[in-house]
Amino acid sequence: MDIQPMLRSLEQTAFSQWVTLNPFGFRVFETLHVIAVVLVFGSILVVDLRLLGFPSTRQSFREIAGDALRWTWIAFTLAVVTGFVMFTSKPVAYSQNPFFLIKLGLLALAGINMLVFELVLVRTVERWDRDVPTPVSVRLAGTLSLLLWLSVIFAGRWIGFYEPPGPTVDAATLPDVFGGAPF
Amino acid sequence: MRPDWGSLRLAKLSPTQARFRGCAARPMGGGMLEFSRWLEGTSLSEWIRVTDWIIPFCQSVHIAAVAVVFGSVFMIDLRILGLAGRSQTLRETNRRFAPWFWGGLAVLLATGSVLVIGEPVRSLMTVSFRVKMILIVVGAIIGGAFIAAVQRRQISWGAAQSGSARLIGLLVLLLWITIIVLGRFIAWDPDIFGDLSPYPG
Repeated sequence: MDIQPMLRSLEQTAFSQWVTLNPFGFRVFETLHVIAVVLVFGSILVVDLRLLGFPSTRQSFREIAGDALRWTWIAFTLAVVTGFVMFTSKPVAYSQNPFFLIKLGLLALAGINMLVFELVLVRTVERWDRDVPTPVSVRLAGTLSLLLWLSVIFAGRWIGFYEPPGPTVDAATLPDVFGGAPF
Repeated sequence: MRPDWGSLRLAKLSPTQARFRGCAARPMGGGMLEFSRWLEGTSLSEWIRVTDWIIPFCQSVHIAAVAVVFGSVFMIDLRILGLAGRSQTLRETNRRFAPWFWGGLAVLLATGSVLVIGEPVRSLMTVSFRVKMILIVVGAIIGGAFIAAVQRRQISWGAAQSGSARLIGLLVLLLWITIIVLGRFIAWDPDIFGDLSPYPG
């Protein structure tokens, strides 16, 4: 399926134009995106480290996960919404940005890891909820989650640094939409 | 190589230097700009800029470390607000999360230093960066004082649940969110702060 025509029509919408042309359109959403990403990673890290039994298993996993994951979901929703707004500003360019595609792939992998954990591994939680070392499978899920979310941050940061191949454009000849500093 | 500040000031100004002369009227403007330009000219700074993965790499680690610091502050604040870890005492919650606060700050300092050395004018010559540094010192002092007081049992559980403790907890969260926002604002400083921004152009 060729989604390029769809992306081009998205780029023509009034909203997309507003995000691109308003000097603060993109920036407001980018700033909110950073806050959301920080809260997603910060809260999921708390759960992942507990899955690894670090620094201790003295607190119930279910309590920690219940307290922290609530915020992960709130922040993740904010990240998806703000991320989508940023995407609408240049959908065609983002769809051709390898780091954007890698980030989507990593998010999918993190989602699969979470599903396996929630549907399979969590069934045995009674046995390792507190005061005992967590099973190897649970530690593996925690490690994968940690590495995948860290990679999501890296891929996300690299999106803005990617320059598509082709003739280099002299920045001075472009309209000064973003006030010069692109990052 | 050390900068010769005296001769820099006395030397006949090149057109570029003359253009930046107006910055001297602002607090720290002149000296800081000269320092930034000197730093930018060092081989270390150049190496950071021309090695194209270093800046995105340090920015990525920086964001992850912000998440570690913010996550630890967040979990301790949630405990104070009674929204997390209710089976744990404040001291237990503190012991679990406080080391990450300091570890994260150390990583922030390291990666942030690389970013400043790589692009000194872009970072040092902004309102955002300067206010951010002040707020980080404030945040670190509040965090350090709080962690130490809890470990020494100077903060009783009752006191930690009081209305004022909850308010302080919320203000500290707001402080760290402001620090995150200012970090992002460094890139757009002249557009956000207008004439207040010392960014030379």
